[in-house]
Amino acid sequence: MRNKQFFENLLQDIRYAIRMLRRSPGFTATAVAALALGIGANTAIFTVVNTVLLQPLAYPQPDRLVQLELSSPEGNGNVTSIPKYTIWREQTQVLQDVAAYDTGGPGVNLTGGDRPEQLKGVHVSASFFPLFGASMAAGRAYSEDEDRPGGARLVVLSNGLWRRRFAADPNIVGRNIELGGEPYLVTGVLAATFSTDPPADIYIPLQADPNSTDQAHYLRSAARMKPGVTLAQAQAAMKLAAEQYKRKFPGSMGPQDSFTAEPLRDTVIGDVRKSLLILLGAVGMVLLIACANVANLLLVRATMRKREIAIRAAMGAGRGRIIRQLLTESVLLSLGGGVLGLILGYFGVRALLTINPGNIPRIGEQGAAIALDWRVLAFTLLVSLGTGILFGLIPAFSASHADLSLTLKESGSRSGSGLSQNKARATLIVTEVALALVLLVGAALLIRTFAALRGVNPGFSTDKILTMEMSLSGKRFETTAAMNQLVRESQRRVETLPGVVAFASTCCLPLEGGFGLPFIIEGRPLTDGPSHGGAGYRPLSPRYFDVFKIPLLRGRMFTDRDDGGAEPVVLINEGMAKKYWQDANPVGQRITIGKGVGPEFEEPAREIVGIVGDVRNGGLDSDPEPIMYIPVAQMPNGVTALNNRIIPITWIVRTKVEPFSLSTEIQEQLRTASGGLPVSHIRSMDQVRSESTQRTDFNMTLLVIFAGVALLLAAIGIYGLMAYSVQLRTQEIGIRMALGAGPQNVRSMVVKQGMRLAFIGVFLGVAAALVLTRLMASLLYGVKPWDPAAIVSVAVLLSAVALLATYFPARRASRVDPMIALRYE
Amino acid sequence: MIKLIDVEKFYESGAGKTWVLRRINLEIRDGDFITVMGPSGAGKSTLMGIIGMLDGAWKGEYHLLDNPVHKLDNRRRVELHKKYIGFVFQQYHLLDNLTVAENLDLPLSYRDIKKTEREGMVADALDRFQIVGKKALFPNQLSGGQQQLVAVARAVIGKPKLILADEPTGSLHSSQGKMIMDMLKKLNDDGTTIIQVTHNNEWAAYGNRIIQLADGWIVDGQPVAGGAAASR
Repeated sequence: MRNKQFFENLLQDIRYAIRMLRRSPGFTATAVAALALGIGANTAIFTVVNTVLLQPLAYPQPDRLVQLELSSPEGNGNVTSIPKYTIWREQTQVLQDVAAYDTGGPGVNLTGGDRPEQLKGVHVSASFFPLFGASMAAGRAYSEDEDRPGGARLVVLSNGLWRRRFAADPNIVGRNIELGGEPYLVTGVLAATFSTDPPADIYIPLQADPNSTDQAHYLRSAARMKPGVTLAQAQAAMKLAAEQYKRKFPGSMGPQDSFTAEPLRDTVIGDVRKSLLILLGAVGMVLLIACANVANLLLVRATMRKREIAIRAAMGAGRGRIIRQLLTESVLLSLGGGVLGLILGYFGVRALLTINPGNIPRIGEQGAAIALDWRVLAFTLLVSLGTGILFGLIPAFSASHADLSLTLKESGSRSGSGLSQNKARATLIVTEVALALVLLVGAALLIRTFAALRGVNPGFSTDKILTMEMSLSGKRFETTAAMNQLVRESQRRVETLPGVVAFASTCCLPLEGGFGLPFIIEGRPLTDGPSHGGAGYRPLSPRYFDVFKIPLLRGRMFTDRDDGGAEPVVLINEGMAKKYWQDANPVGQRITIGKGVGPEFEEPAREIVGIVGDVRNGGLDSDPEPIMYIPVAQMPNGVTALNNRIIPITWIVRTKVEPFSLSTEIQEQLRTASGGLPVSHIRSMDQVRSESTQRTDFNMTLLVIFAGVALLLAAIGIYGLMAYSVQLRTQEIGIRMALGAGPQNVRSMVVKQGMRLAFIGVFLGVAAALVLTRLMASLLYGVKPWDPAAIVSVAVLLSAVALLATYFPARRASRVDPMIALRYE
Repeated sequence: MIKLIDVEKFYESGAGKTWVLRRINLEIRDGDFITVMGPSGAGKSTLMGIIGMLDGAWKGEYHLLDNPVHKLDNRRRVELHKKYIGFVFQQYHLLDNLTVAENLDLPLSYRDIKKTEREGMVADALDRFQIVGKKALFPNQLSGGQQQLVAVARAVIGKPKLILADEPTGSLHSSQGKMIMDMLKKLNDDGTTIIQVTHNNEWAAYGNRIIQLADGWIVDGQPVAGGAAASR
């Protein structure tokens, strides 16, 4: 019975609320629009957060999956070597299905058909498939027995490739396909539901040698913790394994280095977690500002409806009932905002992905994995209900507290509605301004970062350079001689093209990282460890420095005479010279590179023939590090084979004209030189440069948008409050005019009132920003979180906007007709 | 002091012009105590608004102390207003959130007077109107008569030459009304020109001349018999 009564009352409240909202369409539209903006931005960011951070990995029992890593005082590293993987496989008391796989993969050429194609191929151990619970659409995965050195050439196809290139032919299993000119037997096709991140087209046995002593690090390793094993137990076992490894390979690890295991999800998500959480915090602030605006609108309405509420109370409505009636209205408003926000969020997230977010993990190709699921819907519903209650409570309580008899008797005999009567509203405005300031400072810091990154001298020219990749995996280019032959022939052909200035090969492009190797300086005693240090290792052809216009500072550049038969040489950068030789001249000295890393790295000492300028190889935001440049013609055979197995070769071409205009002809020449191998990943160096700052640009763009919305909402809030305040004070203004106040006096009175609130907000906002921007220190470059220029300029901007927002109501106030105002009750 | 020549005011309405004041010709001398009377809607408050320069939309000529108000822009009118005119309203119109002393300071704050000087003037006014004990109170802590007393004090604090009192006793009972009228009379005796609007014949008799308005026209503008002696 009571329940029935409750629902009848609720229905009545809802009916009444809908009627009230329909009766003031302007108010309803403004409130719903503000909420839709706030909720929409939150839904959009939460959709990404949900996909990236919250959704469990799409593998069976994902909580048991761990990434096996190297730990050191400087942090963890998740790239490993075959001997380490071999030791990890032995930790069977805590781990099962220990798998190793390529970090990137060289790309593999699907040949033999009429159109060769470079596929995304990865080498994975047999345990990879059970580890990730891979199910097969046809055939089977390869077994442990087949995944041994010298084993048969086998391949597992992804479902996508199977459908795209083989028309989903089930008979492909058991047949050979040609990869890099060699036949590979297809053992199975993965189910459509199985995917890896990043996605791959084909999976080839790793065939790692358990007896390998090769210290090259180019693999990742993951495992499943056995049932009942905790992360702490797995980490303890990994620590013991590290001791075992150090005994087996003395000097191969530092005394403080060790092994560890981390939840796979954490390493998949990586450093994107922080920026996503910051963005989520930022949109949360936008929502709070929207809520404050709507609460202000509702407060105004509640004041205007004081009489109605007083009459309701006089008719016997209790406080609870009145609060419920008003809350019903605010919750209806917020649900309206929620529905619109969900639609905005859905399209917002698509728009967001077109901004190009950089390599955010788990979102799939062009954000295909991002979808509205029950979590997003629940989030939006909760946010809507929560905001409805949050911004509805203050006005509801304030209205239900009004003095009944006073309200009903109230006459116009007295006047003045200053801030004392508007404390709640003033507090909301101060909060809005403070939150907007925090967001604006965040955005300003990222804009400064953006500018700083663009102002950075990368140490090389990016203008008019075309880059492309080619997979050389397979038997044909396993020797340095074969590869050098290809490089020379390609250079000869491409450099004859009109418009081409210089052509070179490299393992890796500047700004995109690369490998490093230890080196020993000849004639200098070893005091600390097996080497004098480590530096980047970059095999390339001689014209590399011409393509990138990297200056020679001392000695000489490589020439075509620095080939396999000549004295081994190396160029180093200025940073390496300064770090290891200080003021001495390293030119003419000799270094031994890669000693102790593995048999394929063994080579005689090289003479340093020159010093070149520093280049930011690790990205625009990281300082140049020591690096060694090696002529591709002088690489040890083993290193050439390993490189071609794990990464593609990159061709770089400097042109006189717009580089893409020569793309087709260059590709044609490269295909001819390589005997038909396809090229992929064609980019200009300007693109490479802009891709390297994509994540920063993405964060900046979003934060600027959010801060802009916050600024707009705060301006609307201030304007709304001041306009309403002027309306409430019409009579007072009339009296002041009758007492001699001129338009200027009235204007300055209103502006002062508004600006006082704005300044309090700015002051509190600066204090909050000083605390909160520290959280984004890792996203910044070239600017401190407490950057005075950013803070001051934002404070000035916000104050100027506040001034504008108060000026219009002030102007209106100064035009009040005192004759009408004095009669106004 | 004041000369109105053919002053007229109307509102445009759907049916044409609605006249509020018609061909008002009026001369008021320095030291006059004028009473404006007439039925509701006769145009009394509008006439007060025009004389007090709160209303700018009218036709005709208005001379105040040799200043041609009809030719002045709004800024100059505000200056004249500040210099010569004080207002008293039926509803007192004190500002709620200001104390008695702050309400008195309000008109001074719109003139270029130093703060210390203003403080002295407020103290004088509090003393003169015997409301020193109420200076820190807010309007809602005063009776109606006390509030109107403060309002009168506020109107005269800037030493205006002209006080416009629009039904100053309309909201007061008779003893409070008498107190206020005596106060106005005293100011008039001291040389301030006063124009009041009232419906009350007893209060009308305080003035030396009664102007009767009806439908916007002056229908009678005779001196009061034995004028300005009624209260004595």
